[in-house]
Formats: sequence, structure tokens, C-alpha cells
Amino acid sequence: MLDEFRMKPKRFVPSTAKARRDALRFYFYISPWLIGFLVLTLYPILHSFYLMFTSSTLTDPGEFVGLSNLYYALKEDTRFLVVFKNTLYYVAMFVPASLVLSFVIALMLSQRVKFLGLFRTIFYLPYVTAGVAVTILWGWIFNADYGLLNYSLSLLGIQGPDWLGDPSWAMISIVILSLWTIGNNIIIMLAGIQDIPETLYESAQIDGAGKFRCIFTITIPLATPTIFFNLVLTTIGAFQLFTQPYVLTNGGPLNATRTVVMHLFTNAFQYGRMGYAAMIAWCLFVVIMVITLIILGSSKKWVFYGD
Amino acid sequence: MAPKFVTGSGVNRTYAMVRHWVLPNFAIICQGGVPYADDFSDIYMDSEEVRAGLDLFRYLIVEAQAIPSQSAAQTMPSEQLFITERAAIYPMGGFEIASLAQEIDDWFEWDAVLPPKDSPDGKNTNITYATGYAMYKDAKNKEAAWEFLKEASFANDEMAMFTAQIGMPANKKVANEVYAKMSHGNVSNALYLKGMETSRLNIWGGALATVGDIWTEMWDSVNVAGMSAAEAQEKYVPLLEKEFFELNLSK
Repeated sequence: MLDEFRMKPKRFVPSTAKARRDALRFYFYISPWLIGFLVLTLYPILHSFYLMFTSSTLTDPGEFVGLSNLYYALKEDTRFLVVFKNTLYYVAMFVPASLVLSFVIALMLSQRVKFLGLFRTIFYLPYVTAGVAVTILWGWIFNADYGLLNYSLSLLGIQGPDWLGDPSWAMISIVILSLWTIGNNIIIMLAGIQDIPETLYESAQIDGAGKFRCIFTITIPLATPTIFFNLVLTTIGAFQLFTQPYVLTNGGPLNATRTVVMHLFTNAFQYGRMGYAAMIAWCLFVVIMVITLIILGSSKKWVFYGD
Repeated sequence: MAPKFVTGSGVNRTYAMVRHWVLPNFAIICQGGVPYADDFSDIYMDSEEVRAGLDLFRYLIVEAQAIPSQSAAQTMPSEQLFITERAAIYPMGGFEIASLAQEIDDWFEWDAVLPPKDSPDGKNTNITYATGYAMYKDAKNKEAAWEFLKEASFANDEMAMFTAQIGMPANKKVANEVYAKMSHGNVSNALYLKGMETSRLNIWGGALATVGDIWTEMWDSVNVAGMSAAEAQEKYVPLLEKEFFELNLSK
């Protein structure tokens, strides 16, 4: 019954001169964004789709080669599968660690403690610090001989590994470094946690629930929409890993930190193979889309919207 | 010889030589190896000389630990290791000598020498990194472009004088009369001019970058993964050859 009284959106058709002027003004005001979107986003996307089927280089438009670029990737390019494997390895480590850590920190920041504003600023600060600067700083920390990390470990009698020089530790080091910049995830988690009605906790406490019980039966279930949002965005972002390995290890040692976007960059701007690089970009897009769809599909089973 | 310079451990460690970005290329030629024919018609990376060069550096990096590890090299500016006396030898390029001299000042005594010869009566093994201009093959006005290239690269004495302040100019007259007479600390630029006589152009520069990346993997397989030089040659030389010949640079 109530549905009949709900406002339904109507299609806007400018019928009067004033309405047409308003519409014109509207398009005029959004034109900077619209032009930017068409020229800098939509056109490159469509053009890269075309490039994928060509032998285009930086200086030569090339010719149509069909699926040759894909064939080259799967049969000839020894790094193609390696970079996808490396990227998936990073995503599998970074995304869960980032979600757990940002949730725990957000939970702590949601408590009423002294200097709360200061703590929130401290955790958010790395996120707004220039990525290259942070990466170089961590490079020094990870330095096997003179780095702060191994020096600290040596005080405990532990001989630290060659963080960035050992293929089995290099990607782990990049995950650790990336975890330092999860300030944005923390802020989003914090907003989600603070949105949970206080009355639910009060009722639970009256019923005798302890703090941990409250976290597992109230906070986590009601924060799942926020966790889901962070999961999708963090996963998409993690697949695009570039700055940290590019600055710290240049993909080494032995390609252990070479990611898909690094491989794309190298092919496009160092080897000049634009067609092949476009193909790598579209492969990455397909992988991200499939994984995002899987996450979206699974959300029905674990995301609780409270209705 | 190099391990004798190595002292201390942890944060007090001093290395014999900085791990520098030129060393992988240097390993190819230091025992008399030649990467490929001058006309790019053939590649010689499976030679005994290249293997000997790789073995020498494997010994210096892995066994003698006279050269820093991979991460120490990538995360700490290599010249910083030298000017803080954490490395005794630095592969010093002509373009950076002025700034290094300024940083070292009179902190410690230092000098520059040409690299060792590839054999007792052989040549010094130098590598040149050239910066230059290029013209499009489809340039509309080739004569004007060529005039500009000549002026900008070597024909204009005045421009070459400015280049000489930061590096060796292609203008021979200015290189001999101005650049060679300049010095930084104890080091005369004349040394770099002399080194040019036997230098080899950046081995994997420009169009050869794809082959160079495979060489970097081969170098890492020896110095990081612990492969012997012979095993690395067996695994990577076919890949190097395939990539090299696909480039068709000899045509």
C-alpha cells in the first residue's frame, strides 16, 4: 500500500525555455569532467582494446595481427605467467592481512581513549605521504646490512633475512611495506564500526555478553558491508601493484617481485611494444573482473545488511 | 685481492667494492669476453671468457662477500656506501665525479684508476654510456634536423663548453682542450678521455634492452640463486640468442 505513495523518479525532459537553459547550464558545468572522461578515460580504453590486436609500437602504428599477442604471451613470453602468479601471490597475502589489520586498528580507534585524534592522524598519515618517498624509506629499513629492521632483530639475537635480495622474502617485504599504507581502509572501517547502534551493545551487555562476544556477534556481522566494500576496493588496488616493486627491486631478484603492471609498463615504455602491453592490460582487466564478480557473488552468503 | 678490503660485520661492515649497476655488464668483458659482433650479426654470450667473468663476480659477491648483497645495493645509494667508507672501491663514472669529490671533500684520501686489463697485455675494460640525439627515419626536414643534431652534439664549441662542465662532450676539440684539463679532487678528467680509447659502448643499451633484461636474470641466477656460471649459460644463452636474433639489428 505504501509503495503507491513513494516518489518515483521521473525522466527529466526539458520542455520550457528555462528548463532547456538549466539543462544546458548543467552540461556546461559538468563539461570539464565529461571532456576529461571522454578524452582521458573512455578513448584510451577503446583505443587500447584496438591496440591489443595490433603490432603497434611507440613509433609505428603497426598492423592488425589478430590474437598473435595473446599467443606470444602464452607460448613465447617466459615472464607472462610468472607475473600473474606473483601478482596473485601478493593479492592473496596483502588483501586478508590488510582487512584484518585495518579492522583491528579501526576497532581500537573506535574506543574512547585519550589522544584519539592524534592516533587517527598517525595511522592515516602514511596513506597521504608520497608513495615513492615511503617506498625509499622502507628500502633503507629493509637493507640487509645497514637496515633498521635487521638491526632491531640482531638486538634480539635474530639474524634477519636479506629482505629484498632473497627471492622467497622479497614479495613478503613488499606486503609488509604495503600494509603501512592502509590508512584509508582504517578510516572506512572506523566509519562502519561507528555506524553500529550503541543500543545493540547495551542490550548484549545486559544479557551478560563480554567484549569479545560483542565483537564476534555484533561488530563483525554488522561491519560486513564495510568489510565487503574494503575487500572489493583493496583487491582491485592490489592487482595494480607497481610503485613498490618498481622502486625497491625493479622486479627482482629473479623476477620474484615482477608484477603484471610492471610487465605492462616495461613492454610499453621500455621495449615500446604498445600492442602487446595493451593485451597484458586487458588480460589483467579480465582477471580483476572475474575475481570481483566472484567476491560479489559470494557476498550474499556473508554480508549482513541488517534488514 | 678484493676480499682483503672487507672488514667488520652488520652495520659496521665495509665492502671491497660497491655493488654497482655497471657490474653485470662489466662481468661480460672483464676476462676478455665480447657480447656480440660489432655489426650485431652474432652473439657470443656462451664463451669461456663470459663464463670466467661471471665466475669472478660470483666469487666476489657470494663467496668472498666483497660486494654488497642485492638488497644493500638496491636500497642504499651505492655512492653513499663509498663516501661513508663502507666500500673501498667505487665504479666511478665521469658524470658523477664532480659531485662525489664535493661530498668526500678532504674526509679521506682517494683517487681514480682505470679498470684492470682483460689480460696482462690486453686492453683496459671500460664501458661508455653515451647520451645522444636521434632523428626519425620519416623526418620531414632531414637536412635541418641534421644541422641541429650536429650543432647540439659536437659542432658548436660554445654548447660543448657547457657540456664539459658535467660530462665528456662529443666535440673533440673541447674534450681535449677544456674537459681533459679539468679535475675534481685528485682526479683529472684526462683519465676518462684515456679510458675512451678502449671503451665499449653500453652493452645492452637502447634497442638491446630486452636482451639486457634476460642477461640481468642470468646474472641474478648466479649471484642470487646460486647457479654456477656454466649452468646459467646453459639455461639463459639460448634465450639471449633467440631475443637477440629476433631484433634483427644487423639488417
